[in-house]
Amino acid sequence: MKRIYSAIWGGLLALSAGPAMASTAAPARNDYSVSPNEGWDTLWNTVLLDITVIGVVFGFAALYMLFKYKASGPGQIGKLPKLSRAQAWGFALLPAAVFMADDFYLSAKGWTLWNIYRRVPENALEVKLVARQWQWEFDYGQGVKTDTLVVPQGQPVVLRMTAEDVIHSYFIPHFRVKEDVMPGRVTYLWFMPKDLGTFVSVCTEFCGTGHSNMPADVKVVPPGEFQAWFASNRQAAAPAPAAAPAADPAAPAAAPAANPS
Amino acid sequence: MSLIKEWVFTTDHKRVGILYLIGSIAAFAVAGLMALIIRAEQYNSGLQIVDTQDTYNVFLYFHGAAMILGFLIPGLTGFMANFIIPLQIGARDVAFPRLNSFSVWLFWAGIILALLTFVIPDKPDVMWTGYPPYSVTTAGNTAFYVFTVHLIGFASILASINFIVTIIYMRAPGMGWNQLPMFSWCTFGAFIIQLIFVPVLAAAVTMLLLDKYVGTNFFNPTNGGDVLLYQNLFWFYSHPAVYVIFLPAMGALYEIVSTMGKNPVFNYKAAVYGGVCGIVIVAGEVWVHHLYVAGMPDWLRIGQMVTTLLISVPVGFMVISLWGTLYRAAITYNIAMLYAAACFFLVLLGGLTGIPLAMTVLTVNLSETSFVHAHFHFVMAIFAAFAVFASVYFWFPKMTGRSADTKLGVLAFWLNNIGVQVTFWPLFIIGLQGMPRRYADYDMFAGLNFEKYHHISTYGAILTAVGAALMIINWVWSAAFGEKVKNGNPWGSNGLEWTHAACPAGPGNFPEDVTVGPEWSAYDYSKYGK
Repeated sequence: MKRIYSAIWGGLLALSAGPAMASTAAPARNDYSVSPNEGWDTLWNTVLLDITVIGVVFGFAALYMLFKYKASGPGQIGKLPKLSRAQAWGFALLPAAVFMADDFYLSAKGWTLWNIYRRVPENALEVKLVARQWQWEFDYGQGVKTDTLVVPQGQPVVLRMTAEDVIHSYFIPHFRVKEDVMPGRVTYLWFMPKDLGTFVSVCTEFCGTGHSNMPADVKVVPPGEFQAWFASNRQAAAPAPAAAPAADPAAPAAAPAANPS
Repeated sequence: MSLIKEWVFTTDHKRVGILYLIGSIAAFAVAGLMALIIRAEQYNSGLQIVDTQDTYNVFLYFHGAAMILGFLIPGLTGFMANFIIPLQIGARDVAFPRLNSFSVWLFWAGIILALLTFVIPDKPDVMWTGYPPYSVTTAGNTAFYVFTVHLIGFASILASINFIVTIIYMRAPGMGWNQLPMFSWCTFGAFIIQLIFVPVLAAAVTMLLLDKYVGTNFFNPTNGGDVLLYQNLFWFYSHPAVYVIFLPAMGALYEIVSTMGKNPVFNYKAAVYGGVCGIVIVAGEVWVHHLYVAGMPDWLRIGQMVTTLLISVPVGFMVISLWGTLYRAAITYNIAMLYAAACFFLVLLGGLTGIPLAMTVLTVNLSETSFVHAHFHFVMAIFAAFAVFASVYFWFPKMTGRSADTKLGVLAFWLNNIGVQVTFWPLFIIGLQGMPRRYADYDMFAGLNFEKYHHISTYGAILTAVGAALMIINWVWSAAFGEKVKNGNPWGSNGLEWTHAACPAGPGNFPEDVTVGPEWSAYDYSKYGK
């Protein structure tokens, strides 16, 4: 079913935006040379340029006409020329064509990056995220649960997210990712932590009293440091000996499929 | 006493319109006060002005719900449609005057119910969107939200039927569809959208009510419900609602710009059949852009990115037409025209910042940030509010027989116009850096120094508040003591409400029945000045 819909939308897009599509074909499935946040910034700059050009052209046109065409005295009437039939069609279809071309151009660009955003790399570190009023809990498996997201530099991270009570939304501004976290559903997002450092993540879906007080730190650390951190946390979680053998076979089975798309 | 009776039982569309105006301005004033408190609270990180986060949430709820349901929709489709359409099309009243009177009192009941928010215990705190499961599990009284939506929704549905029938059947003899004034055309489109989509909202909030108080599980996933069902139903109405607000606002701008510029509407047929009809057609196929980060299927998010971007085509027809109406015009500025001129830039600013938000992948970062907040305030809230203000000034002589005070009006205009720009530009900037909406406290962003932007924004809000207060004082004072207009057609319009009706228009609108010839156009200024 999903494939049929994709085909219909894709077909519509390709038919009406052939030229624009050609230059921005979807990337190969495992092409992750562009990380989502870098792609976001590039696309944002393109769109910002696009809307700035339109805004400046129309803004100055309006400003010019609002000053230029002031009535010089009472009784004066405007001199808008009467449009011929061809001119009327022209002034309708030409702007429509330009706007439509821009729409399809931006759609194609947006779709390309969207594919990167939704296709999780196979080597991604999977972390489960459970949201509740008003905290986040990151579950690495093997008994490691934290309220801070610690990730190794240079390895993609995928969060499989669900909520226990109401809808939340997990947002890491630095990595330009956000997805709602809902009861009864599992959603996901992935990002590429290239920069070392500590970044803030917050809730962006209104969830009640503590909505603006549920930040969590995202710490990007060198891979060696991550391994050490993970090992020490696993030991801290280990003391109950029964948990240790159960964790290994059970955790992967319980995890959602790695790549739903 | 008889005066009160006259107004309470009135079926005159002009009085019903003025009752809508009073109710919506009351909602605007209280909700505006809430906005001021919200801005003051955000001035610094942490809680300073309100006592608890919950109080802040109640103010957020009231601001959103009252501005949209109590001010914008009733202001544009209640006040403006009621007052202007029958006069403009040469009708003596609407098709169903008693139904019309019933609508306005339903709306007033809704406003009163909304205002009770401040006195009941367990105040509703569900935002104007009322998303479950929060709205079901909260201790707040969601029923007040639901019944407010019901009352105002019924008023909207009844008004839609009323005005669709009025425009189809009660145009002055001889007035063809291609002679219908732009405001009537735009509002006709808005009412068609309302008639189709409001029932869906009513159904959605009713399910919410049942979930919370009767124990059904429409939105409860633990018993087989789905939390996203509500959001889909809600935005299936609430995105088209943006056009219910946008279309009449555009329509009023055409009237004002054309009249004050003494220019016919540029490429009228493209604006009507491409713009108005186009918007009616695409309005219902774009709602998923409110759910871009809500885990909807990928094909749907991409498909509706395309449909959402394509809104630029019908809007483009209207924009080209509005801009063209300025070409070689002979503009005389009055307060209405000043607001209309500001609207040119508001629609650009708000419309163009909608383009990144139409793109699924950019919205992944931008949704629920101050960027969105600034975007929809410009394109929906302020653009439409300025159109309402422009219309009040423009039709003020027709309503009261007096003219509004120009000096005070111009002063208030500049305060409003500068105020809104100062308020919302900083929010674009910090929104891009991650400032979320609906936050009272943003300590976690201490490193990004958002406070100084919130400072500027709050100063802007104060300017706007002063401007809005002066404007309302001006209206009230001028309605009672303003200078009487001697000329029935002060702006030199060729619209029927100016050429055939007195200022103020009396009962029955026109001294004698109005007919128009095939050459008549509301935008024909050839007789002006002669």
